[in-house]
Amino acid sequence: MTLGASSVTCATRRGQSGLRAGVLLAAFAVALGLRVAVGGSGVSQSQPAGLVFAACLLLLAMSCRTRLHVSARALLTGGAGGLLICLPVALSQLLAGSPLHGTAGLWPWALVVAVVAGAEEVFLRGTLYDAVSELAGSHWAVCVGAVAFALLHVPLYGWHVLPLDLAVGVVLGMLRASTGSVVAPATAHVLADWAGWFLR
Amino acid sequence: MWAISGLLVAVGWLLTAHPVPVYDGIGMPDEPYRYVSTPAGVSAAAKPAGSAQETLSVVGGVNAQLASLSSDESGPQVWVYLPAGVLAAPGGKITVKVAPEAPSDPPADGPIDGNIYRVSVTNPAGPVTFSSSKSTIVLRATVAKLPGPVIEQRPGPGQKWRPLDTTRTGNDIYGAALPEAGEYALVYSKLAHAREPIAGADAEGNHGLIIGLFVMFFLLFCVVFAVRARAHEVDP
Repeated sequence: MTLGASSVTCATRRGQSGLRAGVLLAAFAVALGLRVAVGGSGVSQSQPAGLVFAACLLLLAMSCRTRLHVSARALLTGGAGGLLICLPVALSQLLAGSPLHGTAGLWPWALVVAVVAGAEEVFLRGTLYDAVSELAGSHWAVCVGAVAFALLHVPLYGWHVLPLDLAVGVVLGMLRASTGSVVAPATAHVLADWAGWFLR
Repeated sequence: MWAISGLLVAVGWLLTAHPVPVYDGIGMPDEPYRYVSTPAGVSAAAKPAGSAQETLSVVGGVNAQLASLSSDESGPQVWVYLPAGVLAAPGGKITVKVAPEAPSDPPADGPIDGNIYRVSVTNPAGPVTFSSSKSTIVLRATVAKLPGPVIEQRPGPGQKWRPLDTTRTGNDIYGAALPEAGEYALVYSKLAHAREPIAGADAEGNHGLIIGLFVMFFLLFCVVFAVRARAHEVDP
């Protein structure tokens, strides 16, 4: 009797997690659609579109009471992850002899990018990760987050970024899984984006 | 974990054609285009359009160093890349220069976008020839819009423009092989458009496709979830 009640409770909890994950994915798709609608043909350059998208993701995260778990270990691991994902770009830049960009216009851009990248991580590696992890385990949570992360960038930059963003999405998910905190992938993501200013 | 992560990123990087912008975020804002001859209705830039110059040693009849020249705008309006060994010269030093010019004598197939860039390669010891097609030129358009312009080239003023096989390598950035010295410009041609890094990867045209993919992804998730939930109910 106790075993049966426990199974029913477990199935109910799984059902709720599944429903939550499905609703979150649908809401994520709607938020992305909104970003594309606001940004139009210049969506990848549009800061208002990015901020609208970030606001949607943060609202979703807040409504699910996603926790951040800030720790020195998460920050350091995130920093190392950021360096790792920038390495191929930096090496490529070095070999091609491409110039590093200056800092004119950097700061307002960096602030917006930190908000957008942070919101993406709080949602993908926080809210969505928690829901999928509860439903199917952390491996699935990493995979679902990586696929969503990769698809998110296609309307912005085109299909050619899919392999790289998929790989980076998995790495960011692994950072979350290994530290138990969304702060690690958020730190890595923001650092990689900031590095992109100089390494373009 | 770090080894797997490094491997993943390296493989992703190798499989990704022209990974610009890098990963994510908002596109970096470029400063307004600096025209040599500012069109009517456009505010003149505070600074003149940039030029660049490099001097290369000749060893064994070819340039010993690579040349990477870019103008000083953020982001640069022109970037010329010449690997070592692509310029053949009798000796001495090779001077490579890229400088902006006002558009004049436009091609028949469309208007010039922005400045013309003159790439000159000189050597006091004798003529310089391009010995391979590994050299590239990258030009920034005045605005990001699709379908994109192509890079066209002509040896000098008064000569015929010819379109080059152009790839869009960024939102408003276009690249092509640099076959020789001469004048280069972006042209909104009626006859040709820039290629995307992967055929058919037009970001604007793919919005419907991406939303469709999301829907498929969501449906797949629902199916997997339903199957797993049912299996759990049958065998608790």
